[in-house]
Amino acid sequence: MKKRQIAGGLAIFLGIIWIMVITFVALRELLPVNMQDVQAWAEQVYFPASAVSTIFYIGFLLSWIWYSFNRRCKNSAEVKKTIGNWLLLMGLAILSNITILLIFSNLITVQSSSTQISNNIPPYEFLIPFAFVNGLLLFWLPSCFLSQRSLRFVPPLSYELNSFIEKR
Amino acid sequence: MKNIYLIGIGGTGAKCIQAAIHLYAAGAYGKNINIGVLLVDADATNGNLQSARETIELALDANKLLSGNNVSLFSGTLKNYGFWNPLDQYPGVHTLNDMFLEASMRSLDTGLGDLFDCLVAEEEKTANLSIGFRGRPSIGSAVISRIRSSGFSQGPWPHLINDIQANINSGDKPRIHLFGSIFGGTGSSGLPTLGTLLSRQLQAVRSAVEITASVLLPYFDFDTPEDDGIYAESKNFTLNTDAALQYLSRFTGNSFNCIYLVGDSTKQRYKVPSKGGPDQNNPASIIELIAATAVSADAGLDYGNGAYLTISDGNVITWEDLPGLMTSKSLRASLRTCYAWHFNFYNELREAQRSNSKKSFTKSAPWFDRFFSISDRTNRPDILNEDESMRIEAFDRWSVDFLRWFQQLCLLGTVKEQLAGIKDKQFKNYDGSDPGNSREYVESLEKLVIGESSIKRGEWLDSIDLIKNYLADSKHILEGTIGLINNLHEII
Repeated sequence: MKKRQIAGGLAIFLGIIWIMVITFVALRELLPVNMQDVQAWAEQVYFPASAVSTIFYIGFLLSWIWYSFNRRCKNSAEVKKTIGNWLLLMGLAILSNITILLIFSNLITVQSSSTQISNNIPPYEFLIPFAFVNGLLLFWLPSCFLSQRSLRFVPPLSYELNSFIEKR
Repeated sequence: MKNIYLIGIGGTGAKCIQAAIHLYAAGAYGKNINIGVLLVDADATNGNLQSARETIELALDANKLLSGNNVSLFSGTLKNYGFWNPLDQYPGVHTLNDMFLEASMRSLDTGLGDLFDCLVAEEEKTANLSIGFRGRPSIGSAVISRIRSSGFSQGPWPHLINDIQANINSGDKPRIHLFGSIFGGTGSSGLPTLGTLLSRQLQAVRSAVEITASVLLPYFDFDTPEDDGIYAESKNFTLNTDAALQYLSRFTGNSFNCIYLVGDSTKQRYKVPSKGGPDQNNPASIIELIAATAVSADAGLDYGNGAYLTISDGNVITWEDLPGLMTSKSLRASLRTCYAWHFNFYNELREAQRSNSKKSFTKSAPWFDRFFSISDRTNRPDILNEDESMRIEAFDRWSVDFLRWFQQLCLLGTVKEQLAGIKDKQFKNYDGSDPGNSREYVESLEKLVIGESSIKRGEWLDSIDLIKNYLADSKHILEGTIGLINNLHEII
């Protein structure tokens, strides 16, 4: 297996750890979230929403990998233009992440141990920045290593990142 | 290292030299080969000769800049001995009468004058020889055989003979290969005469040198020019051929190690009649290519060997018709390389040269930094370096010549397009750094080589993008323009 593929796999693993573990723990225990029962919300809403979002991120990433594998470009100018498709997929991935959080927050009623309901609005001030970081870790970083063939250096900074693992 | 001296005699000889130079450049004669080239013609303005000289010059430039160790294109050396006009040693001589001093010959000996009348027709005696021997072997033989009196001491001959001697002295067995038609004037008179005279000149070392020849039988005809005077006429071709073959058979048998007779049952018809001069510029023919393949054929052990080379099926020319172990493979690889270069890599390299950031360019062309430097961290050549620009230019000029030559091979005859699908393509000359003249981009090589299974050779090789990707995947021993074209040639 090539070093690039290993690095790409590690990047996906890091992204999953980030979205499913680190942000989960951070929301529950570290960040000043103003919610009535943040623990219950994180377990019943955030965690399944993150799991679905992760699947979506991986789906968008695989779409890019498939596209880069099958795309035949006549020249470098055509390769350069594919950044538009990459940005579109990245944008859709982040948007899907936010949409999934919104859907899950609105559809799932949190079963809390407390009977008092004072504030049940999800902490969007954290969730939206997280969605961007999720996008970076679950789409941009793996795509830097897993983009195929002539499109291998289309994701921003992919040439520089690949230079660390493969002397050119 | 194999040393081969190619001598092209007359217009057809020049066309064969053109084919041989392209075969050499394509690697069809093998690696590390030394080729020497000499053209012989009485018609210095002959279009075929000019076209061959241009090809030689382009190949020489490319050879100078692109040869090296482990290269498959332009491997070894190419040396040009130039051009020898048998009339050059007679300044002011324009006719046979001038050359043989007819008036003084007749006054000295009336019998000699009468013999001259018997051997040479009146119109042949007075024909202006500056445009060649007019398809008359009798004129050519009379002129060329006079080299005997000078003992190869004129023009490029001493240099050529010295080099052959030097090869022999260093233990090599050089080969002299002559090309010429046997149905016209210059070739049919010059080839047997020069072969015999060279054999005699090298008599002391004859066993250490091979003398072979590709003799072309009538493979084209043309309309008769509409004016008076004497000129090559296709109706005489059979007669000329018969006489020349008899001469070869009876008098030159021991001069040649092997003679390859090359012909085709179907003759090409050249529509534009010509008496000679610049107008005599015929398109390249597959028969000349087959004649050129004989250069690398085994000459056999004894003198007097012969072989007949032709096309297997008169109606269709296929890759299997080309003799030689390496011919088809090398030509196909060179065709693909030149095509991919012309319609893709050349454009990309020009783009890279114009690009302000080489690093930015390599991000959209990952193969680029495998061959050229994008920073000071590698020792790879800089695309903006003058040497690289010269290499790009030299290869491009030769590749255009090669592609046009190959296109002519594919278009001849009445049958459908053969060997390669390049009928409708325009091959533009080198356009320097002018961004406005960039060429069309092509990505697929799928329909380029006709009759080749893409499944057998790998379908990915039909995509220039995938070829680039393959080049981008690993480092290469050869870098720069030389590395790019040779790696391309190896994998394609």
